[in-house]
Amino acid sequence: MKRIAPKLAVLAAVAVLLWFFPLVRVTRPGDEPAIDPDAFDPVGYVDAYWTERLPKSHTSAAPAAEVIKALSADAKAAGERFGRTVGMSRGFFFYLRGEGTVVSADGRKVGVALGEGGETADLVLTLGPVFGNAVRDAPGLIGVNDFEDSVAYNDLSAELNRRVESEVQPLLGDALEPGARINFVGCAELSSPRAYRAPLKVTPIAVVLSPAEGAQQ
Amino acid sequence: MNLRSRIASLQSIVALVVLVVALGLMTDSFLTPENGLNVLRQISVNLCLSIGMTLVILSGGIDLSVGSMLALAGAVSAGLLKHGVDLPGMGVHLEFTVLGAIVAGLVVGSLLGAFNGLTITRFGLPPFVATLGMLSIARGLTMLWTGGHPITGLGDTFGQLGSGHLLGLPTPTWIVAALVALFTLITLRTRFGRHLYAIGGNERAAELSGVNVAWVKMGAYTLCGAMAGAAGVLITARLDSATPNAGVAYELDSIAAVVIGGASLSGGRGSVLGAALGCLIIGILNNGLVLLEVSPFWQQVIKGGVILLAVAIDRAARGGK
Repeated sequence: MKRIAPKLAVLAAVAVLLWFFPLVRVTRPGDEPAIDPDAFDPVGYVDAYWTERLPKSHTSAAPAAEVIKALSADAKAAGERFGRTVGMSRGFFFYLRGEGTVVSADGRKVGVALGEGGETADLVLTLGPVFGNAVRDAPGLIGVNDFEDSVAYNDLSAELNRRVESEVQPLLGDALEPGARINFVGCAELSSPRAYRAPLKVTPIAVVLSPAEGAQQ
Repeated sequence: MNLRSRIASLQSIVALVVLVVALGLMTDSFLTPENGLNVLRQISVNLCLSIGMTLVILSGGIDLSVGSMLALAGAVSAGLLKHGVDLPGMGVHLEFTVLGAIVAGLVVGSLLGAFNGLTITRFGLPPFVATLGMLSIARGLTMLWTGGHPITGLGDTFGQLGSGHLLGLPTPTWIVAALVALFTLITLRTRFGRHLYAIGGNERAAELSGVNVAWVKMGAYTLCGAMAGAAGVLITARLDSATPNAGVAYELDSIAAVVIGGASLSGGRGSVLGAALGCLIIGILNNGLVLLEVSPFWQQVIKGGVILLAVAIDRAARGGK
């Protein structure tokens, strides 16, 4: 009996604890709470941002050729001149645009030689799952203080990355031929100036393609 | 205790002091309160894993699956918190509270750890092989559970667990400090703890003395899994995201921390406090290398070198034993 009493006391304490702090709540169909009209809707926010605010800012993106030239010379100075930093980070986000020739395309990345007639890639447009916050942070149009909490801010980033995957990357699919002309706007991130390695990896957010000369239409 | 043993027992503290002084001299941003809190927060996940790893290593085993168990526990915790579970047969939906999600993560870790213990004690698989299998199984299950995508947007309350503060210190620091205290007591003051040391020192002798070796080992692996589950919950809360690739290669850092903390990989020697010191040394080393802008590739090389050096010094200090 003496041995059972402490065990019963522990069980009773756990039961009381679980009564006040339950592990699960059981709901039935129809019990779902009404949607909070004030809750942040990342899809709705990005709908407007993606089609209105962001395209208007394309002209303010830095010329990719200048950014890459500056990065090759002095990555830190290039970051200070063309990049943005967020919070206490020592890394840089770059918002850039450019025009060039597709020199390689393998379904994971597209190599682009900037300008006319280049044969080696000055930068690569990356394909596949998009992670990180470059798409949200590089253009500099959205600040953390615009949101009530970091969850909404993170949700926004996830939705922007999803737009890149679903709306931009399909334009750069397997059918892309080397020699095609490409006009692009994109975002890049360097975790620190020393992390720069050529060619720069850029997440494309808008592309316009013209077929390679001599390619079948 | 002879002089060599005294030096051996103090080597982690000496290494820590040397590291702090050196980095303090080499970079202005190291010895600042903000950076100190940053290091404390960063080491909390590895410390959680290292506590569990200490138990397993004390028993003469090894657990290579802690990183994968962390990922699965974190993903299950996040998935249940975000989406709950439908019970179609009963026509109900279970909505998990934050506490429920945390408990789920711990339970998942414990079950995986118990499975490791079962394969080692009942089926006689070497710990290296059994936990290597679990490394792959748990990672695969994480991919299946998440569909290969991160689970994000877990809410502020859950996030506080990983990024909040309590009395000026990061919440994860309080949590792991409590765990260090609890497991120090368990290893030093309970029969289970004494049996762990006995089994690691000489398994056959312990068995002949009446120690239930299988149960004690089961306990060690189960608790190691539970600690991996706790680490999974902490890292998920801190990042507000459960990623399928979370915890890759974390087992190496936790083993390194335990070894740097003075544990013997053949079992029977080591302590939770030593592992905590080991974690602090690795955390400070990581932090210092980043502040000094050392390339991530070189960071790996330097960390590996430090582990080798720590073990070599330990062996020398203990007379080559």
